[in-house]
Order: sequence, then structure tokens, then C-alpha cells
Amino acid sequence: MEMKTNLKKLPNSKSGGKGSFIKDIIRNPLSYLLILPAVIYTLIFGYMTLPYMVIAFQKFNFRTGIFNSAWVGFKNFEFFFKSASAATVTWNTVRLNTLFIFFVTVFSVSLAILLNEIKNKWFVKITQSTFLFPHFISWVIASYIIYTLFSYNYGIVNRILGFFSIEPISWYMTPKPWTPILVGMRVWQATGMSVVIYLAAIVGIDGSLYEAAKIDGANRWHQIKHITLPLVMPTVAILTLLSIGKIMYGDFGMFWAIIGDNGILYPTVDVIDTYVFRALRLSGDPSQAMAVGLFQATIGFILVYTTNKIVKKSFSEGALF
Amino acid sequence: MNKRIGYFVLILLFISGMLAFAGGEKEAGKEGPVKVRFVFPGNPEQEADIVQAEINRRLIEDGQNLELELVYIPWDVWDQKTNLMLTTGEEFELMHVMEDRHGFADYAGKGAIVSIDEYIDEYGPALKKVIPDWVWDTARIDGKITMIPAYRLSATGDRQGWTIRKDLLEENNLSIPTTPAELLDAAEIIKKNWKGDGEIYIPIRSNTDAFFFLHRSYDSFPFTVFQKLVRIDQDGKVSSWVETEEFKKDSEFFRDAFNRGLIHRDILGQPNDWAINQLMSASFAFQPGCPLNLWPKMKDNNPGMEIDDIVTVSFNPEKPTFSITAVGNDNVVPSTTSHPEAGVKYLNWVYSSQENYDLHFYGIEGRHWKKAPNHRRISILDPDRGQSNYRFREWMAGNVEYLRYEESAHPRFVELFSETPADTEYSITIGFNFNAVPVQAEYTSCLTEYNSSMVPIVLGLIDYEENFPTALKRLKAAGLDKVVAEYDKQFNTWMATK
Repeated sequence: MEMKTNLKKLPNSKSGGKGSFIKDIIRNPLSYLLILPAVIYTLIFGYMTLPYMVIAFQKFNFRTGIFNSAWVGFKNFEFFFKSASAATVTWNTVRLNTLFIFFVTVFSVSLAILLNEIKNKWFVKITQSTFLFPHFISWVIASYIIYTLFSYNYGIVNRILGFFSIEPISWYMTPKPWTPILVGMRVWQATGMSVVIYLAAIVGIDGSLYEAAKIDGANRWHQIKHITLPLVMPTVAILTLLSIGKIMYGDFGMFWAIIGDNGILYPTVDVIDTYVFRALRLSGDPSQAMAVGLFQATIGFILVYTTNKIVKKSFSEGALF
Repeated sequence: MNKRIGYFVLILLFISGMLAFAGGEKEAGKEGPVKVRFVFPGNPEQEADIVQAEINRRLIEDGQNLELELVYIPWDVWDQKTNLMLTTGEEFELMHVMEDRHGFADYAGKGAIVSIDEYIDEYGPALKKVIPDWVWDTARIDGKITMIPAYRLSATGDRQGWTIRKDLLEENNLSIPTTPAELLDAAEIIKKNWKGDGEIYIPIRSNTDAFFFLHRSYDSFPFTVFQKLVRIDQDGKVSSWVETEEFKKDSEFFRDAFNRGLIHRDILGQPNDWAINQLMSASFAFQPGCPLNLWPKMKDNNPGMEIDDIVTVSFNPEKPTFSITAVGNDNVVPSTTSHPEAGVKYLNWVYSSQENYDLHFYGIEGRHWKKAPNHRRISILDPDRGQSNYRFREWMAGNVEYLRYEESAHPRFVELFSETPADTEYSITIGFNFNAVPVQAEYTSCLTEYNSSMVPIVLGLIDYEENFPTALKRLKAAGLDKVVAEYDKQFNTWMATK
């Protein structure tokens, strides 16, 4: 609520009116220059590529292009929807992403609150940097770390099990543990960056609110519960909404690097992106790839739109649009 | 007003996007030499630019009016990048095709490549000379030549054999196994008595065609397996491969190997370089196929090893050598180029003399390699990197006529890859190219499903009896019967015209 009011008060943020957009550019050239790369990127990859979506409904011929390829209706969707794996990979994608969103959010918000409570700046900085570090490690490197942990012969986990006289486990042949392993890896990798955002939101909370609460006798826990959490919720809601938009997209880099061609683990961890990649790596059909992409985008759009509507009704500060 | 401008800009972008994907404008009327952009997988060689400049200098000297550009596409993005280049109408003149990944017939079916008969006739005399007619016959789609075969290997290839360390057999008082059961017994003993570092296994990869070497031991040999989905007998009978008794035998062999600890339990999750490292250090119980191309590395890592200490043999050597494919690799002319003749002209130039071939494949003589006796070569290694600064992989476009093996190459490797035994029997399918487009959805689903459900079975990681029924059900649901029926139909039509 407060944020919206503030926005309205900002100078040069007035919209509408004849020529006001051009005038605004002239008045704030540097600001517009700053967002120019993002605008160009979005225009090229977000809009100029849209016409290409028609190939999802065509038997695309490289020679005749999108204007002269034969129309085939929904035939390109068949390879995915008729396959025995469609339901599994769709469910896995949604299930794993929901778990990722939930655990990353819970860990990030908790960690941000804890870090905010710590007064030793050096400690906070070192902790934050340590958590942020995995964000910059590629999934390929992470896959080696995982292999070091879970390999059958020399894996650290099996060695620990051996220490307690427990039989070693063939992790790469046992599908069930991979859901928590992947969730753990995602939390390890993504928490640091989210903490930065949540911490920024928490630091921005008006200090006088805490002082007033203290005078009223609120302890640390009460302050967190009644001030920090409610005021950080709009940020949580917006970031969650953005994540929901991508709930149908598995993090391809992550899944491919860690799971790769391991068919035994597919029942629990195969996601749409890896399934489609494997399928089209073999057949190389752009129409089928587009059909699945369109399916993911449509579901993502519906989910964001619906969730946003629900959020808007019950918690308007958290709505994205 | 502003909204109108906004809409106008968006519509403009939309149209420009459509034009971009509609094939784009072709380069035309440009003066100077015609570009030959040769697109192939791999990372750029250290001194590719220097060799490219030398090739271009020689092309001008020879009056070819061509300018070569070597376009390296990293392995991990090869399929995506080339598909995108073809889809968006990007111009390039030559593209490499790996038949075991994504065959030329598939590209042709989607209109991604053009037929090149007229260019071969006009600009390809050297190509015609060094590639035999029967190999050209395999390059045809609907009677038209659609690819330039890399006729590097002999017809035998290496897939029917297996490789074992003879020194380890001798150390354990074992003779060379003659049956699959003997092989597993020997491998188990070698593993048990292994004195080197770590454990040893059969270092196969999850995407391997490891089982081919077993087929010579079956009474039904020879037969052909297409994409691990279709079996074709020499009498022309087409059937579903996974439902055969031989597939079951393959699976049971590897299951037995797994139970004896010869298949690594992490085989599906291991980093990609594991298998190659095992082979390079010659730390294996045995290996399907012929990894003797790695002999120089094996020798480096085991200085005490001699050439005779490692052998590639096959079961039932009295049976004829069976050739399944004419070539495994080829190069094609994309339909996006406005100079379809340029790629043909360039490869013809490469194959027109030993000097041109040497320059293209091995780099500059004296800088990247030097001649050795018996038509061999010695790579000149960069002292800092320990490897040569230029090499064009011969499996992509090499030719048996000109090929120079490294001086240190294993003689058995050279023999297997350059000599065709007189009694060679050829697969009935040679020359037939399956067009998957009519069953594209089912074909794609089947290939994917095979990797998910069947690979763990055939690698012995899970039990055949227990898991096969479910896996087959999934493969059938993906459309296996339809794919086999389509193959049968196309194959019979082709046979009728033969």
C-alpha cells in the first residue's frame, strides 16, 4: 500500500497525455538508456519470435519456411500427449517446482530474518557471501559434487553409511531419494540470491515501527511475527508469482547435468524440458519442440493469471498486475 | 497517439520476425570468392584460423573461387544450434551428419537438405573417383544423391568385436574366450585379480550400442538392428527388435555381468569422461568394440604394455564379416544456401590430391604434422598443451584413399578400419534410408521411451524378466508397432524397386 503511494508521488512518473512519453525520455535519458538493453532483448526474443509459434501447427519444412509448410492441426502435440510419459513428466515438473518454490522461499525468508537480527556486520556479510556462492557454480560442477557425495564405491554418503555398518545404497539406481536430493540442491543453489532480495525488503522496513512495538512491550519474536513478516509478504508474493509463471519449465541445466540419461530415475525426476530435449535430440523436429513449448507457456500464463487474480482479491499488495 | 505508435512498432517487429523465419534473403550477386561455411561439431582447434587461411590461399592459387570458413559448433549444443540455423534460414554450405544421431534421410524428409546429383556430375570428379559406386547408392533418397559419404572406414567397422588385455589373460592363465559365457568368466577373474588402481569394469556408456558384439555368437546371425527398434533379417523379414529372443539374450548377458560386478552401479549417473578415462588407462575387464584408437594413450599410461598385450577379437571368427552400414558419417548441403554447388566443389578439391587432403585434415606439414614411413604421420604436439594445434576429425569426412594413420596407431586398429575381408557379407538394408516423417510422433516417442525403459534392462541394471513386460507396454504405447509397420512398408517398397 505504502509502496504504491510512494510511486505515485515520484516525479516524472506520470503517464498518459499527449507526448508525455517522449517528454519523459527527454527528461530522463539516462534512465531510459539503462533499460534499453532489456527492452531490446525483450522485443527481439519476446516479440519477434512470436510468429514462429505457428510451426507448432505445421509440418514444418525447412525449405518452404513458415508460410508454405503444410498445416497439420494438433498433430505435433501428439508425440508428447500420446506418450506414456506425458502425465509423469508434467506431474514431476509441477511437483518438483512447487517443492523448489516452497522450500527456497521458506529458507530464504527465514535466513533473511535471522541475518537481519544479527548485529555483527562482518558475520552477516561473510554468511551472506557464503550462501550466495553456490549461485555462481554451474550445474555441471554441481553434478560432480553430487557424484562425489552419492557414487556407489567412493561416495561420501555411502562411506558414512559404511561407518555405521549400513549397506551401501546404489543412489543412481534408486529413484525415490532424488526428490529430496534435488530439492536440497535447489535450496543450496538458489537461497543465497533470494536472501539478498528479502534482506533488501526487510532493511527497507521503517525502523520506527520496531521502536513503537518495543515501547508497547513486543519482544523479538513478536516484532518478527507482527512487523517483519507482514511487510515482507508483498515481496514474497511477487517473487512466488514470478516463479509460478515458470512452474511448467524444469530447470533444464540442473536436471540434465544431474540426471542426464539415467532412465531408472526418470519416474521421479524426469521433467518436461529433459523429456523434450531427449526426444528432439533424437528426432530434431522443431515443430514438436514448439508444440511442447507452447503448451508450457500456455499453462504458465494461465497459472500466473489465475494466481494473480486470487492474490489480488485477498492480498492486493502482493499482486503482480 | 502513443498507443498507436506502440501498436505500430509491435506490428513492425512481428512482421520482421516473420520475414526472418520465412527463410530470409539469400546472398546474391556478391563479388569475390564464394563462401563455403562448413558446419561441424567440436570446439575450435587452437590454430584453425592459420590452417583456414592456408587452405584459402591454396584455393585461390588453384583457381577455385571458394573461401572456406570452418564453423565449429560445441557438442553440447550441436543439435539445437544446427536445427535453429536451418529453421531460421541461416546460410551455410556444408553440414556434417552423424547417422547414428540424426540421419540424412531425416533431414531430407524435412526439406532441410538438397539433392546434389547435378553438382556431383559437374564439380565432383574426384569425389566420384574416391567413393565407390555402391557407397554412392547408399547416399540416395528417391534415387537422388543427397549426401557426400565419409568413406573412411572399411565395411567391417569395429562393432562386431570386443577388446581384452591379453597380458591380463596370460597373468591369470586364461586363453582368449570363445563364447560370451567364457568371456564373462575371464572378465570376472581379471577383475578379481586386478592389481592396478581402483576397481575395473566393462567401461560402457549408457548411450552405447554395446551389445552388437554378442550377435556373432547367435545362430540367427547375421541380422541388422535399426535404431534399436527394428530388426531386419537377411531374407527381408522385418520385426520388432526388443521382442526378439536375441534382445533377451543381450539383456541376460549384461545382467549376468552386472551381478558379477562387471557393470558399474553408477553407469547411468557417471560423468561422461569416466568410460574414456578407464579405456585410456587400459583399466578394463574387457570392452565391446575396438577402442584401439586410444592405444597411444594406453601406452603412455602403461609404459610396460606392448602392442601384443591387447587384442580385438570376435566370436565365431569363421562366420563372415557382416557389414551393416556403408558409412556412419556424411556431409550434406543445406537447403538454406544460395550456393549449393560450393560445398560439393570444396570437398571435391579436398579429395583431388593428397596435399589438399593432408592440409584439410592434418594442418600444415612441418607445423602440425610430419610424414612417417608407410603413408603414416606424426602429429607435432604443442609443448605447452601436449596435443596438436590442429586436426580435422577424419571420421567426419575422411577417405580411405588418402587417410594417414598416426605412426603410433595400433596395427589391429588399422587393419580393422582399412581392410575389408573378401568374404564380407553386406546387410540387406544397405542403400535403404528410412524416412521417419510419416510416423514422426511415434518414432520420436519410441526412441525416447527406449532410452528410458529399455536401456536399464539391456545394460543389465534391472532384471529382464521382472521389468520387460512393463517396458514393452510403454514402448507399444509410444507407437512401436506403427514404426515397425512403417519401416516394413517402406523397406518392401524399396526392395521391390531394387
